Amino acid sequence: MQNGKNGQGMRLNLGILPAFFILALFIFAAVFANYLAPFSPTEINLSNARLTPLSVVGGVTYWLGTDQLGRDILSRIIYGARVSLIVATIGVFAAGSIGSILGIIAGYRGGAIDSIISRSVDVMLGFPTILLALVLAIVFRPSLFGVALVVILIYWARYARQARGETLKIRTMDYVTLARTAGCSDLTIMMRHIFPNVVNSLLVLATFNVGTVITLEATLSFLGAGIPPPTPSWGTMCADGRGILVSAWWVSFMPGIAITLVVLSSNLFGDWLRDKLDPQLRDL
Amino acid sequence: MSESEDVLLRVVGLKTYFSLRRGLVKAVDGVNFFLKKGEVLGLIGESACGKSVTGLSILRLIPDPPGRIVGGHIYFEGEDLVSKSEGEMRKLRGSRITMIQQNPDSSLNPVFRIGDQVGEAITAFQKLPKKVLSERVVEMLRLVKIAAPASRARDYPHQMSGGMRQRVAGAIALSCRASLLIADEPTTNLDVTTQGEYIKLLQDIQQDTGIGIIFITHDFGIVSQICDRVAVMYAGKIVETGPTIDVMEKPLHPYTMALLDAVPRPGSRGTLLRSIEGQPPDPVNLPATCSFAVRCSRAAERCTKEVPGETKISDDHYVSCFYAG
Amino acid sequence: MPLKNAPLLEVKNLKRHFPVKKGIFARVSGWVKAVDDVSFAIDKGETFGLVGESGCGKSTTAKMILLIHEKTGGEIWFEGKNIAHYSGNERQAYRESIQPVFQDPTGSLNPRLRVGSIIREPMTVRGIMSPKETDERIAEVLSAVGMRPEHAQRFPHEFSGGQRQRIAIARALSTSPKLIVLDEPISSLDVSIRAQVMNLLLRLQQQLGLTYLLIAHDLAVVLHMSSTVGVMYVGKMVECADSTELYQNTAHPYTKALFAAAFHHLSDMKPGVLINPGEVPSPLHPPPGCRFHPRCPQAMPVCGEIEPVLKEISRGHQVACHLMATA
Repeated sequence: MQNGKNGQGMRLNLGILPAFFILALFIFAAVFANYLAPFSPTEINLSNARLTPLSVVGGVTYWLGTDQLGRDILSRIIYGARVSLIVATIGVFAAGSIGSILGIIAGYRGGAIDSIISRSVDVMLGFPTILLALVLAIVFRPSLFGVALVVILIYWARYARQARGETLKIRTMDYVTLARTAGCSDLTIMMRHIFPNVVNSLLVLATFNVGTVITLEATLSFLGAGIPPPTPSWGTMCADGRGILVSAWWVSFMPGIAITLVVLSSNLFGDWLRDKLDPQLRDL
Repeated sequence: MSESEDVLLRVVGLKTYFSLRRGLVKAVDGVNFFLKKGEVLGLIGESACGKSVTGLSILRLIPDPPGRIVGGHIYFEGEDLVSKSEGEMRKLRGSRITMIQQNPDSSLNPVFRIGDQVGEAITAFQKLPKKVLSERVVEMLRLVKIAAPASRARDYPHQMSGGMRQRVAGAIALSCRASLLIADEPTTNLDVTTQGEYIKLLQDIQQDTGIGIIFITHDFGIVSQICDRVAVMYAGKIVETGPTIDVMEKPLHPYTMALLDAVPRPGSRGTLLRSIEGQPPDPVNLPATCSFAVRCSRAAERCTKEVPGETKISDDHYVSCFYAG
Repeated sequence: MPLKNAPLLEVKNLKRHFPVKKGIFARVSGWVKAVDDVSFAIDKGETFGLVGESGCGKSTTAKMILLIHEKTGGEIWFEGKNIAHYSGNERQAYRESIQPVFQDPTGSLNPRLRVGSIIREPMTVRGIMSPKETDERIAEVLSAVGMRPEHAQRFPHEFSGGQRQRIAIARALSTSPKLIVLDEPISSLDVSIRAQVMNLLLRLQQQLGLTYLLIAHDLAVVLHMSSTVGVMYVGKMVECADSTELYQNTAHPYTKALFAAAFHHLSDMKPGVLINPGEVPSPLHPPPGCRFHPRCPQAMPVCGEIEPVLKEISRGHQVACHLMATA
């Protein structure tokens, strides 16, 4: 039987499984690094420098090879996951919370508060991210704490803007009017009515943000303004291998792959989450 | 299939189903009716009864996925629309069959002047030189009784009131000299004093051009004003059909009776209206029984076991009920 | 000193005008007189119906009574006292005495809250009732509207439109209000459900001695449910009378046109005869003099110059029309 416009057909649900798997692996590696890593990530062993991946030395396999200081790449990647996870978690959670709260307040109250917050958001979003990150990173001295702070300062504005936009829509709903008529305080209304109806879109934003934050941290570390050595960070690892790209490509390549896979997976997860949470697509 | 000369549209056993995650929705489930040339047929029912889906099925505008026409025939001017390709349907839409919808705001593009939008509709149907086109646009606007049409053609939709926008939507729909108009609740969003004028406008146009109209509504008041015949829909099926006067004065199906009773009239103040218990059924996974049985005051054993077929009561008056007539 | 037999609610010369600002310096270029000098009174136990078409100001009037919009002029008196003189606590008590039910049952319920929490909300603001008391009250009002106490655990999307409106009514009943403001309570519902809800509202009124302010554009519904009806047009009250009197002795030409449009299928009244073609004017540019005069088939020269004032033409029946003066 023929019919009107024919569109996409069934959505492919297979693509999300590898993404789930990679993200699960990422978290698992970060949490259980101590048990998973075959070697210490920081132990220098110059006699084993620049081993190619799958080299076997003394009955022990270096699955991803070693860098120019003889450190096992695989172990450094596993420990590096921890760094990425910590920065991503703290950064996204803190930026998300602060940004969302400010956005909701701005959207609900309007007036002067809205003007102040919105202008701040505009300023933050107008700055080139890397430049700002570099400046801030130098001010706060390269450290895990410093990177987390940079992430918060840069990304809160995205959440604020999203939260404000959603709040403006929710604010006109009858159930909000009814709450005001009942005499509820602004705070009660924001917590009971605005936030629960806004949180879904913010969660989706957060999943996409995870990838961005990991990339930002890697970039900062690559530029030397992020996590200082000897803590392994995927960004620093990429930087370490820059000079020997031709002779020992795996030193930069492996952490680069790790970054790519995790960012890609978190983006796919964000797509999936958005589709899942969108009530209009729910019935299909 | 030979068709009598004056039948414009004949729908036979139309079935349009939607595959949703929570189940199969039989939005239109075996619907039969016909429309003669120059006639106005009312399709009346409440929400989710399938009346809008019927209109969209005729135009073959059912989104696929999740919906599709799974059975039946729609004979328009002798040809079965169900078996036509999308390309063939596109030629028919906006030239032989046209539509007005409930919300004029979704029919009109806010960034274009209304004269341009009417002009675009005319051009899609027939290419005209610029000067002739402007004259035709003014003519169409005058047809829908818009005062000072030449200057109003330069207005944007937001500069007009709801009633005028709906008239412009009418001008756009009628610019192609179609033989069939599907009007899906065009007056629901209008003020009550404007509604009367709009219905009168449609009546005048209908008498002048002889266009056939399927008028989808939930309001028997409107049906009595403009419709020659009426078909009452419930849960995807037509439960009663016949000349408006007959159906409204001597309704046979319990649902039709209940629908007519549910409206308050002057003098009924303070009394309780005869209301129907319950609500329209969940359209997902309807059982094979009379769908109205649960709410029907006359329901008997048979009603909960079988689907009633069509019973002919008189020449033109049909009802689907085991206990009518 | 509040009077003993004072009406439950009285609205005096109520106005809501807001300025339209244009240009870079936001100069005031005009005023939208959404509600312009409207007065009426509602007695305890009765239903007052406010009817009119879009832009007439009936919803805005209701929202001023509910304290959603600020009034720009006039007074609101409740139980014989001017509410402008309320203390903070009295104001909150007023909110609990006057509860709303809005048009859209889906938009009225927060999809993320359970039905019980939705109904509980008005009771929690002053914190007077204990959780046990609110739970009992929730079960009570759910039964009163024909639903079951277990429904408190469910979410709004699990219910149909008619049921959601019942939940909205239950919420309005939770604080044992004296007056319920019903703003188009049934126009978003299916025809067969409307009768159910209307019947429910009538039964509740009898059982609980409620007073209603009913706002609707459907004259048939208003006449069916109201004891007194006020007809509004572009911000003004044009006629106000007992509903039977209004039906039998319709006076204002606009009211006649409304009747014709609403009940044409019951009589031979053709809508076109009683009203000139045209649209309802916007409250930003109302016609001079009587706002209805451009559409009035009986308009006289004076109608375009001087605005008519509400005058009593017979007991309890007020009309604002120059035709009455000459009669």
